[in-house]
Order: sequence, then C-alpha cells, then structure tokens
Amino acid sequence: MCCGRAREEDVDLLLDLAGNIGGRTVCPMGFSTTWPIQSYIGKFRSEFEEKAKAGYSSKKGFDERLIEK
Amino acid sequence: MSEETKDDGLISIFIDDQEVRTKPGTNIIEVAKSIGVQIPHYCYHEKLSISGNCRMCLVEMGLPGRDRATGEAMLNPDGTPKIMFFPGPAIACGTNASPNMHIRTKTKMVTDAREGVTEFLLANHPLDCPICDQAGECTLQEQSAEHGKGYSRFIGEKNVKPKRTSLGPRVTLDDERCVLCSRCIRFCEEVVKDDVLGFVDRGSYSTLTCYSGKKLENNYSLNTVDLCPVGALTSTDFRFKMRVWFLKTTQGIDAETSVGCNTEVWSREGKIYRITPRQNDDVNDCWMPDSGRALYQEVEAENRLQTNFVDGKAASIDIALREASVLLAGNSVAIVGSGRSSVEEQYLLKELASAMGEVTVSLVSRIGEGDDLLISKDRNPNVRGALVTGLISELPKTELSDLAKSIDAGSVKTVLVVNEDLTEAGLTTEQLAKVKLIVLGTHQSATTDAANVVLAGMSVFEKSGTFVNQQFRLQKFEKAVPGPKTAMDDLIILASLLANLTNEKVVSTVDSIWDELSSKNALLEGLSYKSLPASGQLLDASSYEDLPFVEGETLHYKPVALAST
Repeated sequence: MCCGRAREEDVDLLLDLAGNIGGRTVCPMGFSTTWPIQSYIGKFRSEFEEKAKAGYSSKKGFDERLIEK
Repeated sequence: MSEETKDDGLISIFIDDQEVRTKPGTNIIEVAKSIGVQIPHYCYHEKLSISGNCRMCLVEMGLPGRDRATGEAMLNPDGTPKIMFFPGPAIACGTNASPNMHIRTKTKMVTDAREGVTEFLLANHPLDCPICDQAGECTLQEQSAEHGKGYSRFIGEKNVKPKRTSLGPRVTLDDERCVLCSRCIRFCEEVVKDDVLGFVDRGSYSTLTCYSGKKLENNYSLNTVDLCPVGALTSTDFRFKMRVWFLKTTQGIDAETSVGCNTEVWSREGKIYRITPRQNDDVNDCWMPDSGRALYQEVEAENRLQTNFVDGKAASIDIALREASVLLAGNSVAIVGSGRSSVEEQYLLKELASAMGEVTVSLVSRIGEGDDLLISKDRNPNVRGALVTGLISELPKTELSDLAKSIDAGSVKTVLVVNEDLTEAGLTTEQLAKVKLIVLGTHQSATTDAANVVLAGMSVFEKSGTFVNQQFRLQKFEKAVPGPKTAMDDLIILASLLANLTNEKVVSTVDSIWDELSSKNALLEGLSYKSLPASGQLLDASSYEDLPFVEGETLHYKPVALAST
C-alpha cells in the first residue's frame, strides 16, 4: 500500500488476515502486530482506501524511499 | 467439581450440545471422535505429546459460569447452568475434558478460524496435488477441501525450498510441502529416543532438518513418513512408484521378530508395493521397524524358488510330492520345522511327525540383537506357536548338533526340512550329502541345492495363517498376493504328504485346521481363524512360564522373569 502497489480490495484483505492471525495462530506476537492494524483501519479506513485506490496510477504522496524504481 | 463425578468416575461434557460421558482429562479431539465429530488436526497424534502448533483444531469452548463475588454457579432464567464461552477459539488438542465443559465445533467463529489457518498453511504450500506422492492419503488435501476457502487470495510468489533432501538412507524430504507440524520431531525424540530432527530458521523459511552431523537413520525412521500428514516426508523406496488409491490393503504380521508387529500390506495385481504398520495398542501402537517394511522384497527376490525339483531337475508338483512321500515312507526320518511357519503348518507338521511314529522334530532358533522397542532378540515370529501346537516341547537351539550327530552315526537317513537352511544351523554339506533330503521352502539355499526333492512353498505374504507372538498373542495374517504360479501353499503340500502317508482324509485349509485345533487343543478351544479379532487373542501362557525365552523387554511386553520385579 505504501509502495503504491495495492489493489482496492486489499484493505479488507488486510483486515481479514489480521483477524486470522490474532489468537488463531501459534504466533506469539499475533495480537501485538494485528491490533494496531485493526484499529488503524477502524479509525482511518478512508485513508487506507484512498491509498489503495490510487494504486499504480499515481505515485504522489507516497514515501519515495519505498517506491520500487 | 467433585459433585459432577458420579460413581462410574465419568463426567459429562457437551459437544455441539450433545452430551458425552467421558473420563476426566480426556483429550477433546478423542472425545469428539468417539461420538463421530471430526475435529480437523495436523500436529496432534494420539501416541505423541501435545504440541499445539498447527491451530487447525480450534473450537469454541465454554465452562459453567461462577459468580465472582459469591462463587456460586450462575444460572440461566430457566435454572440451567449458564455457560460462559471464551471470547476466542481454543485448541481442542490442548484441552482436556472437565465437568460440564461445552464445545462448539460448527459455529462461524470456528469455521472462519479453520479457513484462516488453512489459508496460511496453503500460502507457501505448492498446489500441485496431481504430481504429489501423498495425494489420496494427504490430510492437508482432505482438510483443505473440507475446511478451506476453495480459492486462493495469495498473489505473491511462493517460497521455493529444496524438493529432494535426503534426511537418511530411507527418508526423502520435500521441504516445500512441510506444514511444520513437528510430529516427526516428537516421534524421534519421544518414541525412538533418537533426537535427530529439528526446525531451523523462522516464519515462512522454517525448514525441517537433521542436527548437524546426524542422520535420520534409526530403524524406525519410516514411521515419520506415516506420521507426516502431508507429502513432505516420503519413503525413498516407495515414492512415485504407485498411486495409493490403486493399492489394496491386507492385514499382515511383521515376520522378522517375535514381537509380531501388526502390518498392512499394500499390493496391486499380485505385486506388493509397501508395508505400513497397523495400529494395535497392545502390541506395536502405530509403529513398526524399517527392517520389517523391506521384507516384501523377498517375494520377488532373485533366489526365489520358482518351481519344484526332483534330484536337481525341475518337476511338476505331483511328481515331487510322490517322490517326497516315497522317501518319507522309509525309516529313520528326522524333521526340521521352522519358527517361521504358521501355527497351522506347524500343526500339520506335528500330525505328520506323529503319523510316522518315533521321529525327532527340531526347530532352528534365530537370535539377533534386540532393541527395547519393536525388535526382540528372537528373530523367529512363531516359536511359541510350535510350543502351543505341540511340535516342540522345549526351546529351539541355534545349532542342530544332535541332528548332525545322528546323521554322522547313520541313525537318520532322511530329513524333511521346512523353511530352513541347515547349513546355517551348523550342518556341513558333507553331512547333507549323507542323507536323503526333502526341502519345503521359498528361497534357494545351500540346503535346497543339496536336496533330493525341493517343494516350492509360499512366503508369509502369499498365504493366510496365524502366529503366536512373544506375549502369547495369537495374531492372524492374510494372503496379500498369489505368489509364483508353480509354487503351492505350504498347507496343501504338508496335507498331501500326510494324506499319502496315512491314506486318510486330511484337512488342508486354514479354516478346517482351526476346526480341529479348537476341538483338540485346550489352549485354542473355541477359537477360529474367521472370528479371531484383528488385534489378536491372548492365550493362557501359564504352562510355558518356566521356559527360558530369550526376549528382553520391548514395547508392551515384559518377560515373566522381569514382570514380578
């Protein structure tokens, strides 16, 4: 998403995967990695969607260091 | 909680609202299985410790609620105990039954969790079941069909890992297919006590490997292949030889030692492809030694006897039997039986011996190194059968020195040998040349070379019968493949010899022999081949307690001498 390579549906996918990790895998850090994601998407969903929608079409506003050249 | 335990010591738990009575502490997967509710799992195995790392067996769990302030049971408005379900799913394999526990296996939370776990497992798993050797007996294949999404959301590149790592002489690992369940690791550590396998690296790069400088080469290494729920660990011998759904299974017994591991023989169109263990909790649990799995190779060995011989020339079975009967009708006959023959064959051989009058019968013992698991020192599978049928009354010796002396003295002129090589039992070829020799066997040996009559018999995979193992447990094995077309069932050969000698009607099938055995032999009273359970039948061994059996302690067996200590 930060690289501008996300698809629109990836916001829901991210949320879904987060839900499948916390408490449902043997990962000892499952909750601590997924809770921030779940709450970010909960509070700032529109910003995620905006970035995902922008996708490849525009690199504007993305972190230059993360964009694959 | 004690008030929940009634007189029978059982407690009630509820699986999908269905009440089950079970022992406290029973594993939830086992309780569910007992009422036909399948909880999918990879890492859990009933004979291994709980690892709880695959997360496939997630269920919803609830316990009767108690008021925090008063400690009293919380009740629903209708007076039933209020069940407080945990907010998240719990692993069934790591949960033991406690009174009034409620388990839900069909709720949305559970199905979602299973879907999620399956998706993660499949993310880096190659989706090429059609070219995988495990296809058809793969737990991952079955459970992802049943509990998975049915499609993949993974658009990244899958990890590439080594496809043909040799972990040992008999086991090949396909790293990509491994789901990291750690059953093989736990098996080596806990059952074989040979700590050799482990995981290295983290996350998606985790890989099963041997500790440096070690190899998976213990005699039980192929059990890891059976344990592997996916196609990661494969048998180097069997892999890519045959699709498992083409194979039919028959019940067998591992004939290499007196442990008598229960086996399944997998064959197709008269050819055996592999041998795997069959679960018997009183004998071998779910395991068997690697050496026993290789035994099928003797069926098509190069030195297999393909036909009968009379004086070194190939002969039909009729001529060979006639010649043998003429020789046996003479005087001074000695019989060498075998601890590898079935109970039925030993019975017919004993009848043959008593029909001839005063005949010495000897058995050859085979002693090897034993381990404390499933290889005993006695490498004959059925010495106790010979005791039970009365073929012998004392334990066999490794050297047939008495027979050698009788041959040298000229008091024995004809020897009938069943399934033994006399040169291995200490007789010289010169001594063999002094006597008329009739050999019933399966493989060519120095003894068959010296024989006047060679009768080609069947190997243990080509006939039905029973063995008595070291626990005095009567166990049956079934015919898996038909055998060479010129060879004859040992029972029919022995019965023909007996009939020629006595001119009377004799029994020659397993079932009819059991009719006689069950009526004549007090130990075997009421038993029959057909009704013998697959797990075997323990015989009363009290009259043989004083015999100095060679076996040491193995899995589920303690020698009488040690049992009292």
